[in-house]
Amino acid sequence: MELWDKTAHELLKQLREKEVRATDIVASVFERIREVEGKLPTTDKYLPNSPELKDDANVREQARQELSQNKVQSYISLREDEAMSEAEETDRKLERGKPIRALEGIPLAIKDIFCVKDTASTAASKILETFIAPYDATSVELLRNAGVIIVGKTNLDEFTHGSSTESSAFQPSTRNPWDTLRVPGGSSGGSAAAVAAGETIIALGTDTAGSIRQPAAFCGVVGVKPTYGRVSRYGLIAFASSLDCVGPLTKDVRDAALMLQVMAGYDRKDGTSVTTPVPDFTRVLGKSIKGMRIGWPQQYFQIEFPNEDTGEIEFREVEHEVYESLQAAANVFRDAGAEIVELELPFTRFGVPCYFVNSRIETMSNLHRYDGVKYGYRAIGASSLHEMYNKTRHSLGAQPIQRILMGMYVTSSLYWKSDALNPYLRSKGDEEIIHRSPKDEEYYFQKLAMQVRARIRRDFVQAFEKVDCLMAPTAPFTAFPLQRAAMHMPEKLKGEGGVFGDTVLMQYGDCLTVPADHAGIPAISVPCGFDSKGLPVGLQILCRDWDEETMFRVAYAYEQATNWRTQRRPNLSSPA
Amino acid sequence: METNRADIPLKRIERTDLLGLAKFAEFELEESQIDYFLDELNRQRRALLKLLEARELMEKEGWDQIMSHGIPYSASNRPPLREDIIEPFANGSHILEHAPLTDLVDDTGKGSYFLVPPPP
Repeated sequence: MELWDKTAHELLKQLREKEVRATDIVASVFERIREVEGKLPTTDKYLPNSPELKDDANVREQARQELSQNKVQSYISLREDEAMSEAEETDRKLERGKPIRALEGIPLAIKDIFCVKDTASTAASKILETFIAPYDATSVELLRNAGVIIVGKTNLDEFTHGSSTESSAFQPSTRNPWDTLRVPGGSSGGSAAAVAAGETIIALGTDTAGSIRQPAAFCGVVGVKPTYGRVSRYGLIAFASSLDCVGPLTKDVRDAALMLQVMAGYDRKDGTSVTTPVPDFTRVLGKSIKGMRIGWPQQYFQIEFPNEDTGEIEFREVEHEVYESLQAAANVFRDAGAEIVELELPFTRFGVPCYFVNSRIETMSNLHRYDGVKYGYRAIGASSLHEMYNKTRHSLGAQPIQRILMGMYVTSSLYWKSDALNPYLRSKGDEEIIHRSPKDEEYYFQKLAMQVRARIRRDFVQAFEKVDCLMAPTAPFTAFPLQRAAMHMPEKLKGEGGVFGDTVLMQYGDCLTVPADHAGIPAISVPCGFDSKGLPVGLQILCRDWDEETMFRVAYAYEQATNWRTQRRPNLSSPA
Repeated sequence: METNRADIPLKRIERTDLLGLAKFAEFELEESQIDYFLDELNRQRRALLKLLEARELMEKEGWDQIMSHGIPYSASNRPPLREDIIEPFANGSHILEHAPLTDLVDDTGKGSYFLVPPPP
């Protein structure tokens, strides 16, 4: 087995036993990157993404040639020289007898939403294309202190706004290593793909509505969203501050536990970071799950989802093969002595509508700072301050702009100061709201979303009174096609369409992950099989606050009983 | 008037509404973007109707609690308040070096103010 194909804990063992050197590991990873990565993306206009050029023969041919090359395109930037230099320094220290730290010499890829000192930290946006971070995010600093060697910054949806990595301003965007005509998921798609393709050993991501877990499921790797407040958000370029969580993407559960162990803990620089003690997450790995009660929530299998043709939100089931994989996983748990308990989480279906409000309001606020004044891109030639703001913010992509506009809409009195809505409010007996001041009215939907959020959390609190954890699919389906592949190579996808561009459809793909973000609870996605197209399926384990130990224990038990990781590998040597 | 359910009308976002929102958000939208954003925002407002459905269910339950972020903080894990002590950032010159435009006050070419066009 190549070094790039191994886990962090396997490599650490080999380092301790002096079977390998850090330079061997880093060199192996970069060799793999040269083999499968392809050209680094740029912010130049990428014509295959232009729907109006769908039938242009030259554009089509260019797209087909590129898509046929089977490259992954996980990274926005690489730092090979620095990484090799750091690996050499690590080897010198180890030869002098320095003790091996928790993640010594292990290559790490970082989602380009984190500030990493003296590197371009772009958020996959033109507006930050030239931003050089003056400091390390706390999670990055902790990982560096544990001895990691940073490989590069991975691609993502712009400002993490998306679930496919396609909205990145850096194109071409990342592709799924299992089928490079499909998305890796998002927004941590670059990180997930890099782990799956062997272009890194471990990776860092963020999860706001499922942006670690969903790409982990699509790419067949492990992804963890810890309890909100467990890992510092300092240095994370913010999307929605009450939802954003930092977490690991790895090849197996033990690596995820090792990584979270390093990153977790109180940080005085993050006002939402808690002082809850961090246990040894690896201590529980291998403990029996006999006698545990694992919840099977009905609403994670019978979901509300937009009809692709009409847009009407209707009830349907998750993809049948996803359901079958979860049934098989339940049998694995039963064989291990756990009990599967059916239960209801009735407010699960309101997770996405609630998210349309609270995340949009928060990102509207968080993205106001990108105005060209202090950092990043500034448009030239403006004669006034507002002209500068307008022209500068024009460099934001469609997905961030749309989210900001939605945030303005749901907090804007012009929305609901309407003759259309007033009869509804009268019918509910809310006559007095109609006559309130605009200040009260502006927060109507925001308050309603906060109420729904609290109610979603109550579903989980009540469930955890009956069971130790919940099991569920991570996503209702497996990886869908890249929009550009659907446009230019439809025959390869048998007419299956892309999703990018349809914000509602894309967002509802997070319907099984976003409730955990609302409630703040921890959740992990582990591979649990493949569908008939050979695409990975993800199993999600959700636990009560601060109980990552149970989460890791149950996930590890499943992983060791099945070992999907060793059964198949992405085949990146053949053309698409 | 467009409705999703007969008893819950919801105002469609029109072009003038969108341009008003864009003005507040300091965006200058291209003509080619306007139709796309109108379509997408109006589809999202249909999803918002689900919150009104949730409201009815919560009223029946008598549920009125709100939450602004995930987990509740307690006295045992709440982060302590920071002392009101100014700690200058150690690498301020880095920020000025990489700023779009600053004044020049010394021979190093570094300034100490961000420069912007005049406000209205």
